Parts: sequence; C-alpha cells; structure tokens
Amino acid sequence: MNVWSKRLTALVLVLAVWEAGVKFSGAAAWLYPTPSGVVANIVGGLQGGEYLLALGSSFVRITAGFAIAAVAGLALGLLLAGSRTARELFGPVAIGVQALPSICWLPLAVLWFGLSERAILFVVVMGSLFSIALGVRDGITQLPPLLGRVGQTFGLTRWQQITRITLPGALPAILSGLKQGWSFGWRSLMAGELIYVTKGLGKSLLIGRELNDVNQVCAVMVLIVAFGVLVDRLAFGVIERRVLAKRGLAPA
Amino acid sequence: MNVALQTPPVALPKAELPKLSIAGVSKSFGDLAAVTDVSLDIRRGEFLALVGPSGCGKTTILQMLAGFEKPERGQILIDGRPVTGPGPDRLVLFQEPALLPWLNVADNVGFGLPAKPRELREETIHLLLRMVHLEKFAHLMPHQLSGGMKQRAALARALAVDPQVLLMDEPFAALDPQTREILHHELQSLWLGIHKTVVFVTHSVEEAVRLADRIAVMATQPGRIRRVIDVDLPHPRDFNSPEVAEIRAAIRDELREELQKIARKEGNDEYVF
Ligand SMILES: Nc1ncnc2c1ncn2[C@@H]1O[C@H](COP(=O)(O)OP(=O)(O)OP(=O)(O)O)[C@@H](O)[C@H]1O
Ligand SMILES: [Mg+2]
Repeated sequence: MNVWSKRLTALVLVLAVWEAGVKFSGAAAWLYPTPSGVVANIVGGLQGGEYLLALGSSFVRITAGFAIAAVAGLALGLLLAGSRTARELFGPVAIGVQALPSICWLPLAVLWFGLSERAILFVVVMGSLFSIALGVRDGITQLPPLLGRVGQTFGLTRWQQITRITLPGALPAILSGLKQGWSFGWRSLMAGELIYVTKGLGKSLLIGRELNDVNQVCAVMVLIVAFGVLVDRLAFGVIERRVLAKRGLAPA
Repeated sequence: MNVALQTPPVALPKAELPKLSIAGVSKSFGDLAAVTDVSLDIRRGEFLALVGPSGCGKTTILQMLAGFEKPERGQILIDGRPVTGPGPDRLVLFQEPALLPWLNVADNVGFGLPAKPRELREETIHLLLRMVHLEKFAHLMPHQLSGGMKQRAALARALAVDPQVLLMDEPFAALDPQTREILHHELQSLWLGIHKTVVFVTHSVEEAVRLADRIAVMATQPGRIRRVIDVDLPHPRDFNSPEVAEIRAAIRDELREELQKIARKEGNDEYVF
C-alpha cells in the first residue's frame, strides 16, 4: 500500500468514526459539524456560486497584495543585503516586524484606512512583505563570495552584477521567501476579511457564524486550507522543485 | 624605495614594456606581513609559475594582480598603467571552477561573451567547447560534470573573452593526477597556440617545470621572492632529461632551505627532510 492510499484510508476511517459519533451520541447538531454536512455545504456553495465568488474575490485581493509585497520585499531585501548602513539601521526592525502576528496590523489598518479594501490590502502586504524581504536578504548574503568575484573578473558593471550573479544566485532563497510570504499573506487576508462584511472567504466564515451554521464555518475553513495548500504545492512547489533540480539541489 | 622612480618611462615602446609589473609591493593583514617588497616583471606572452611553501603569499600576489586586493606599498602595473580593480583583461581562473550553477555548460562558457550577434556567440561557444573536449556536454548543468570537466569548462569560459592575461591559482590542485596530466597537456597546447601571458600559482614543482618559462620561487615569513629560475627548454619537456632534472633539483633545494628555515623558527624539526 503506498503512502497515499494509507492516508486516504486513515482519513476515511476518522471521518466515519466522527460522523457516527455525532449522529449517535445525540450531540447538538448546531455545535458539532459532521463530515457529510460539511461536504454538502461545500458542494451546495460551489454549485450556488457563492463560494466561487468568495474564492474569486479573495484571490483578487491576495494577488494584488502579494504583488505589491513581492516588489517592495525584493527592493527592501536588496537594500538590506547591499547596504551595510541599511542593514544596521533596519535589519533588527525587519526581523522584529516579521515576528509580529499579522492580525496585529488590523487595528492600525482600520484607523488609517477605515473599513475599506485598502485596509485589507494593507494587512496582506504587511503580513507578507517582511518574509519576502528577509528571504531575499538571506539569499544574497549567503551567496558564495567566489561567484561575486567571477562577475568582477569578467568586468560586470554593478547593475550586471545584480542581474547576472546576485539575483539568479539567490533565486532559490528568494523563491522560498516568496512562498512563505504568500502563505503569510493568505493568512493575513483571512484575518483582514473578518473585519467587516465584504466579499471573500473571510466573509463566508463570518456569515456561517452569524447563521449559527457550524457546517458552513467548517466548510469555509476547508476551502481556505485547500486553496492555500493548492497554491503552495502546485504553483510555488513546482517552480521551486524545478529551480532546485536544475541546480542539482535537493528540496529543503 | 621610491616607487615613483620605478614606474617605467611612458615613452618606452609598448612591446618592450613588461606585460605586468609588480613594483616594490608589500601587503599585510593586521600584524601579519603577507608579502614584503616584492618586485617582479612578467613579460608579454610569458608563462610564469609562482611556487613556494604554504602561506608565503602566492595567492595574495595573484589577488593583487587581479585587482581584488590593493597593495599597501608599491604598485601593480599592467602595460605600464596602475591596476585599479578587477577586469576582463586579467582573467582569474580560481582554484575551484566557480561555474554558475544556474547556467548549463554552454551558457557558462559564453558568460563573458556579448549576447549579440547570436550566431557569433554560439559559434564561439562551440569552438571553445571543442577546444576543451566538452562539445557533447554543452547542455549539461555544472553539477552533472566531473571535477576535471568543470575545470575545463572554467578554462573555456576564461578563454572566451580572449584575455591578455590569465591568472591561475592552483587551478588543478583538487584534481586527480591523471586528470591533471590531461589538463596540463591541454593547457600547454592551448598556450603554445595563443601565447597569452600566464601567471600560474602551484605547489607542484613538476607542474611548474612542465609548463613554465620562468619559475619564481618564494620565501616565507615574510613573503618575498627568493629566486627566479629560467626554464629555457622546448615543449613538450622530457622529464628524464638532465636539464629538467637539474632545474627540479634547483627548485627543490630552494624549497628545502625554506622549509628548514620555517622548522628552525618554529623550533621543531618535523619539516626537515
Ligand atoms: N584575507 C586575509 N586576512 C588575513 N590574513 C590573510 C588573508 N589572506 C591571506 N592571509 C595571510 O597571508 C599569508 C599569505 O597567504 P596566501 O593565501 O597568500 O598564501 P599562499 O602562498 O597562497 O598559501 P597556500 O599555498 O597555502 O595557498 C598567510 O599567512 C595568510 O594567513
Ligand atoms: Mg593560496
């Protein structure tokens, strides 16, 4: 039996026990979700189009926020790696801010931008920016100095040195920074979407609570995890594996 | 010593200028005098080997010739002009091949070539790959090559930009004897064909005697040049000939004295042989 069929069997078993447990113990149906209820809710929501709409608008937000964070993070990472002064001044701050749970940006976002799209975007950007910047910085500072010397002996200009040595050399670390930034950004978005009723998966989560629909709450949680894992594995995972394999490196 | 007086007069015709001049150069790292007052001219088209015990400053000299390090006193000149930094006129072949792991062999070899015109670029890469016998491996990635193949690709990459000077720091030290032999052979036939100015750092007396026109034997503590030996023998050199034996013996004598000096200084005689 391969690992996937083992996993599947285990999952089916757990779900069956769970379903039976809720059904036959007389537990309150509005407090305890059942696998069948969750699945029915997902299928219904997808067919009715609400979940697709929610997924779509969350996707637009994460894409916009992540794009801003990627550009800004790349710039900040380059600055931190390239300038000693910047590293001394902002390095500890960047690490400190990265350790801050992104939900802590929420109050500030609301104060600055009100209950708006911009507030949500702000939380997403702050949630992912610093992981990306630190990934870029680490990728560059861990580059073997010898490669820099290769560029120098071939007479590269400063700009060529960045585009032809530094960035391609740091690419694996940059990718893993982007991947981590994306997953932090996704979590931040879900937090951000809880601040007020708007489109998005976060909203569907809120509505589930207000309707006391525990199956909907769980269904949306499943969707959030599924989408997160999908992008992480399919988009970033595939690119990362390709880049690493090309260089003869094993995935971390 | 007044350095300004050592700068050759600019009026001298270019062909008679030494290609590289090390003029009264000293360099220390903190309290440690790595190189002290070294002067040596390297002629145009000459193959000069730098040998000496570990720590005598061979790499330091090469780094200064390359422009990675600046001399503390004295000057490094190329064609009579001071060296201000690294550049493709003095290409460095490092001890490690230092291929770029994200480029395949062909793109590594073409690293220093302009991107356009594409046909010319590809033709040049092809010629170079053939020269170092790697045509069949053009599309492999560096991690798929053996150590010797990597070093050959690095050599081709260096030759691609047609540098006036090649600076090599023990480029074959990490290779097995057979591969090293093959690469000596290739380097020699290449050099005989194009006559670049080469400065070649090595620990191996055999390597120096096989390849070099002149051999500078260095002394240590402080690092300086002990003796420069001419190797006026035709290539390929017959290692059983009395001339080669004589030169090898001369270098070994210099090095042995040097090692005995170190042993005496360190108060142990492990080094004496
Ligand atoms: N960057 C550095 N910082 C401090 N000391 C250094 C540095 N580079 C070299 N040295 C010192 O300078 C001396 C000469 O070093 P160098 O690397 O030039 O020797 P070498 O002749 O190339 O030795 P080897 O044959 O072992 O490579 C050594 O004592 C070394 O410890
Ligand atoms: Mg050395």
